[in-house]
Amino acid sequence: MFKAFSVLLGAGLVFILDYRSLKANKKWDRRVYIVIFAISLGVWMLYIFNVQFPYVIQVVEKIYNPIFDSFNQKLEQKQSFRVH
Amino acid sequence: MIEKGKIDARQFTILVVMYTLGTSIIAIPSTTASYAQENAWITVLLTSLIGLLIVFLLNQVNKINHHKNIFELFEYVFGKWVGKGITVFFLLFVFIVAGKNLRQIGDFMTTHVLVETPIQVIMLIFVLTSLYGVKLGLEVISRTGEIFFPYAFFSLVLMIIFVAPQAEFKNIQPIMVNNTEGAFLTIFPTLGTPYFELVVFLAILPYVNRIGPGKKSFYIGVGIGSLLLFAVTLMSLLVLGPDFSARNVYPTYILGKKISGVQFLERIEILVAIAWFFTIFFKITINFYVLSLGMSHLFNLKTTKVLSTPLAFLLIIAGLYLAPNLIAYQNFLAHDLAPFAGTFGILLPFILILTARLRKINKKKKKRRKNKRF
Repeated sequence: MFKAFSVLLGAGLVFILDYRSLKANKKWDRRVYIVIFAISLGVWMLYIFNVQFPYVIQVVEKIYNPIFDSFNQKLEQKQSFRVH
Repeated sequence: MIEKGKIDARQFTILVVMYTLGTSIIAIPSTTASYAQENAWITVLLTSLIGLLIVFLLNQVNKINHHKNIFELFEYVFGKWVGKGITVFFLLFVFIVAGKNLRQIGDFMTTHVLVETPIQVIMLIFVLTSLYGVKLGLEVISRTGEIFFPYAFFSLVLMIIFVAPQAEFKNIQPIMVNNTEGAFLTIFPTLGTPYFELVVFLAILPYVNRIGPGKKSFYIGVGIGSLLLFAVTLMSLLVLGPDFSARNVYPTYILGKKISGVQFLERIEILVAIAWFFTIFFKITINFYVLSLGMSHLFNLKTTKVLSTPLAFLLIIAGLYLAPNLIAYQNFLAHDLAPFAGTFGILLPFILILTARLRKINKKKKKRRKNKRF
């Protein structure tokens, strides 16, 4: 809980300081900023509360492994410290 | 154009060298030695040559329209909505690559230098420094590159010179007798970092003040970077041996530990490590800058600065959720990074060139038909 509170406090501080620099920008710019900031904060809160996401490499592996599986197996046979 | 700044060809060369060296200086010696063993240096040499061909391909993409960056080219070639869709996927790629770089430096620091420090803190320090660079713009990033480049370059060259007396040529013999197939197969995973990732420079190339020398400097930058990568891999094999280089995740750092000259020149590996911290910093900053630029194009924002702060914090999450551990990450580098990066670094430029040419031919045909009618 302390971690979550610290992140919220930090995010609030960053938002106040950073949002000031956007005052001269268009309304659209500020809206997009707020949305992306909210997404960023949301993802951070999920991380703080240990919500499990699939890891990026697992997703990439699922996409590419069916195509490159035979190549990877061939490459793996060439590894110097392979467990026999 | 969202970015108003201009850089010169020399600054562009430096950025390319820093980017080429970046994380590859940690990743390449170990990955290549794992699969190509004593022939790893030949793999790196061949990969460098293919890397120059990739630069040729990227320069051809830039030829479609010199004044447009890659995000503008997507919309110019594929139309507004398809272009925006491709931009989303490309930005996802850049986002993952930037997160990967952050994770790499974080993993290195927490396993070798600041063992007790949480990885999040190290990533935060790096990303905040990069954020400052992105906020100041491309010109400032390039000028900073000019300041740090000599330190990074000469410390690597000096490392190679200082460890050279310990080189044993029997470590790379017999040349191309055993595991020849492995040496050639390893070329593909080695291309993943950094050559397929060089596509991000298509977002910066239009900001070089003279496009001709800019293209030339792209070749020179990749050439210098590849030469250093080759030298470091070769030294790693000659001094540490192929087996030790393969088993160690960071052979370049161990190579730095081997520096031993005059009595006071001992244990200076951290100075060498700091030198490639600079290269990794520039790699993260360039990726982060391209990400901010792309997001600004996607949402039609006024400057690249607008989204840089929330993106910085998202990048840390990207790094943390990249891989469960170092072993899984190493596996990703060897098996899945090259196909993933290749989709954006080779396939996408090919499709871009092909579509642009077909559209050009169609336009010419239409013009001819019109001329015939009148």
